[in-house]
Amino acid sequence: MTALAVRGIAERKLRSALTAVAVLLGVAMITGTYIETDQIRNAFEDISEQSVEGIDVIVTPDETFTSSFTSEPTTVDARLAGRVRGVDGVAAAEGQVTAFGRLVVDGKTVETMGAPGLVLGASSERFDPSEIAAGRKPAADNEAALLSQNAEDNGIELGDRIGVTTRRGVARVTVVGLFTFGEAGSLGGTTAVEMPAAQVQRLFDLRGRFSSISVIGELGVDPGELSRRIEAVLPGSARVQTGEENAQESADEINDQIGSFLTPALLALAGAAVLVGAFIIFNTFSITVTQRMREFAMLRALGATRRQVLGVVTGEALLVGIIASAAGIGAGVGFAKLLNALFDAVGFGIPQTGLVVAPRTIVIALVVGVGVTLAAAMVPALRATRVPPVAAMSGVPPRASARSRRLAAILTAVLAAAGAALTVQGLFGSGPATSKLGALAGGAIFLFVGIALSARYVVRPLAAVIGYPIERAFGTPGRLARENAERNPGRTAITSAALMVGLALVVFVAVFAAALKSSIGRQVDELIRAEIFVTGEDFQAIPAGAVKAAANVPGVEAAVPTLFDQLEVNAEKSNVVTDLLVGVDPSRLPAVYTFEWVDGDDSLLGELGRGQTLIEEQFANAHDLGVGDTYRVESPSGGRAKLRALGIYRDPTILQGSIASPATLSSFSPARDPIFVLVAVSDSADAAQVEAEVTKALGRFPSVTVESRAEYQETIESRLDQIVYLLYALLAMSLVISLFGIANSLFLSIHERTGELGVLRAIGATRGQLRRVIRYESVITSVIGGLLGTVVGVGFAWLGIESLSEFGFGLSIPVGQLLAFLALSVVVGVVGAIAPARRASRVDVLDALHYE
Amino acid sequence: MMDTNHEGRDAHVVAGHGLTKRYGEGEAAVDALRGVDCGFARGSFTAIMGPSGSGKSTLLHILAGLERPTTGWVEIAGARLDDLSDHDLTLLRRHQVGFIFQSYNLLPVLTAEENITLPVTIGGGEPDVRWVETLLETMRISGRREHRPAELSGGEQQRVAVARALVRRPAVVFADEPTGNLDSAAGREILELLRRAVDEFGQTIVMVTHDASAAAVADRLLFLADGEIVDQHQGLGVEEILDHLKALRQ
Repeated sequence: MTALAVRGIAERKLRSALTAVAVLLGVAMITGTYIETDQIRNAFEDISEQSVEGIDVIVTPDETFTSSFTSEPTTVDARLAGRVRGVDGVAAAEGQVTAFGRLVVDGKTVETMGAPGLVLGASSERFDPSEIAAGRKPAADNEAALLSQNAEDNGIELGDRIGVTTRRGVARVTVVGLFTFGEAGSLGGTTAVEMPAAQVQRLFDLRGRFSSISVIGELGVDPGELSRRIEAVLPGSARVQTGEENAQESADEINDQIGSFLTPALLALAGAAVLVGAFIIFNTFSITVTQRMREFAMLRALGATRRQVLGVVTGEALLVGIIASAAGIGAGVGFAKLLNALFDAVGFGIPQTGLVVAPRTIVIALVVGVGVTLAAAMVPALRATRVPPVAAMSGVPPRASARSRRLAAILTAVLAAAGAALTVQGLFGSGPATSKLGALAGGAIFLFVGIALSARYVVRPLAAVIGYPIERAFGTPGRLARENAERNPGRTAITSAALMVGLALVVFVAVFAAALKSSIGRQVDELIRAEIFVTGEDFQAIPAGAVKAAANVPGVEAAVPTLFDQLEVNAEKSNVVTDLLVGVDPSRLPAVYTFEWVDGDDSLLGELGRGQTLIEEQFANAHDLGVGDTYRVESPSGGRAKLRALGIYRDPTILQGSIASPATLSSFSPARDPIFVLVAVSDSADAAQVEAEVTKALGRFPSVTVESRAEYQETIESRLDQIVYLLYALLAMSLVISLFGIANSLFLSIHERTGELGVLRAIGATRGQLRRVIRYESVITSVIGGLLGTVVGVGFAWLGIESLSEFGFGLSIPVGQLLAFLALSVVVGVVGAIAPARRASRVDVLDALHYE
Repeated sequence: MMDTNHEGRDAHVVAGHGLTKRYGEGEAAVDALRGVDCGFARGSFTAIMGPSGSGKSTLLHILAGLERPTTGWVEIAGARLDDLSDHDLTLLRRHQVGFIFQSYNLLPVLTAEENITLPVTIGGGEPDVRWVETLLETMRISGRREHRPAELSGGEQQRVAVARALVRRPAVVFADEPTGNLDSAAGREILELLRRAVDEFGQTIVMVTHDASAAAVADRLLFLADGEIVDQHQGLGVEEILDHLKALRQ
């Protein structure tokens, strides 16, 4: 029986190969995800280890929680270094300064693609994690060493002059050395420049502050013991760790970030591809089992048990699964490289090291690949066992009994209902985010399967509608195509469902992004009165000088700086979206911003004193606060305050969280510089001209961007588009797999209809006409998938948007894009039909007629 | 031009000249036809008979342009098939040739009437409504026109197939064992309809059969053995045909 399964695959090479590809691509995505995230993790671990190499103990500022606003370097008092040196067992201790600033080459800042731009204070030899590769370390205030990779990428050589953005504008320095850092092949987009430590402190107003203090112990002193002794003499605002602990913590943080976002996101996309593959496997095995009913009946008549027949089909599935998974693991390496290229292309600079296929990756790939293949082939395999031996004589395949069909219909309904329920639970239910996401993913899979199975009931009407214009335009070939598409509604349904999954996700992304864009656009329009937006690149802080320069431009009525920090409210876990405090002068706000009040009015703005805040609706709801309530807050740097809410406003996108005066913010937060500045133009001035003047005035600050309202919205949209395009690129894999599904299903149908094709040729149909019949059938099938996908995708997006309606989301359908996706489904149909149509047109008339 | 059939060449709507067909190569080569010359007059009904392996099906396929001869050539309605490309051959089949197969070979997705008009509509043409009505009447399937093949009996399906073969008013209809899958009553009906097509519509029919009672309906009989025409007769009765066949087998 094993031999029979092997022989079966060998005989049906094309079909087996196409089925295998369906599995292979999904497995490749899973493998690639793990390879890629392992690589990123290794690269970051390498960097973390490198940075504390040879350091026994490290003192850092104590952070209550990690903030997403990293523009302000957190620091400790430099005098602590002296105290550390006095501790018994300390051989040497040195303070380091790290600040954030951009390289300026030829008047333009160097893009970091979301990675940090670091300005490092040079350390003495023993404490320096970097290695000079060329030249020397910077000695004078106007000298700097540059990360070799940055020099290479930007064509900078020793002796060149470059700029570095600082809190005081651009510092001009001469490159006297190039350094490397650790083993990582690439640090992604990160830029790093080293200058004398005292100069960095000056340029960033960090005199008397250190970012960290590194300690080397005397020989034989245990780092753990040393760290305890140091901790004993330092205040609570300083955190003391061994070098090892520090590296471990940084690595864990990165692991957390990758594990909580990147890995699940990529795996979800891979999961969609696997689901599409499963549909195709199911379809292929269903069709071939039907075609081979006579063979199975004969086996049974010859004395094979049901179990043996089951073994023939599952054995074939097992082999296909193993071969495809093995090939998929190989292809996964390629997919990881593709991911690297994709991330680069959309501007996410990610550090890179060598690609490693961990044993865990191989195991998961094999389990998923083989498991999915077997599971999808199981129902057809069971059907094969039910063929009565007598069918070998009659040649009439048994039809599914009314009972089993009813059972299938009920099962389908239950599946779809469960899927819908889980999806709704995931979106609107309460509970931890992970379980909600789990419910959402499970719900989506159930829904997809349920819809795929129930799609058979809509295939006929849909085919009639889609086929009508084709029939009108192309006559008999069109009519035959439509009839053929309607012939096996179940088969057509599953084939088109494979396309539906990929397309539904694409549509979901498109509709969701459109909603996001339109709601952001609407809120910017409604709430912001400022005509000009001054922002820091990648949320870099804007130097104080820049704010002043903008305010002094004639025609500027008000330039209002807005500071941000993240909060922990009432000791509850901090939420990066809502738990914010915006530090802005309330009395100047009306010039640039219109409040939408929930509880309160504009008169509050004049009264807002120290320790008093206005809170956003979400913030109020999340922490159960009303007007007059007081609450405790803590900043990431450990500062604490007691605040009192005076009013409630609504703004889920721009000034989220809460609003207080800059004085209130700085009473517990180190935030000194604004993230953006809203500029209002006086009525008598021309906005465009003022914008040009402001741009000119801020020329000294190349890391600052000046934009009109429309430009600002475009920037937000293009940032969103980057993510959307990345998702499209990853979802394209599912569409490619469904292409193979369509081709496979057509090949099998052609095989079944060889006789008919022969007749058509005999009575005068040309090869071109046969090709057209197949192509139109394919297009009808793929457009059914496209329509279903559009409906399901819009439905998902609608649900998702409803669940976020409190953030001001509203459904807005990007009709043009949806039409383009439908056109794409036509393309999928045409491309999927190329090879099968050629096969059909080459049918030999005589062979075909003798086929029966 | 050799004319073995003692009939005027101009009257031949289909003719085969020096047809040979060899399958395989070298030692394993099989000669299915060893030089056949034949002609078929317009409006004639010819039956080709012969034992299994005599080459009668091969001859039919070659005459119909479904297969190319190893040597020799075929003319249909004045066109030499060996001059035609695959595409032109397809168009010639579409316009000049009708087929009736043993296993009906209707398209299951089309109705009876759609199957009949398929040779016209496949080329984007409009069927001649009156002619289609006449055919439906003659074939006694007017009441079944909206039915799909699966809803028709074998005899009805074959009647649809006959109508389909006639719908283009082709120069010639080739029938390959048209009664082979039918019971004797349904078979007789088909033969009678073929006869009427010849008598009333002037249709030329070439039919391969091993059924003597079917052959007896034809005007002329060609007997084939070992790839050669060994005998031909006009208007033989069933008994005589059976005698001939017996003689050929010996």
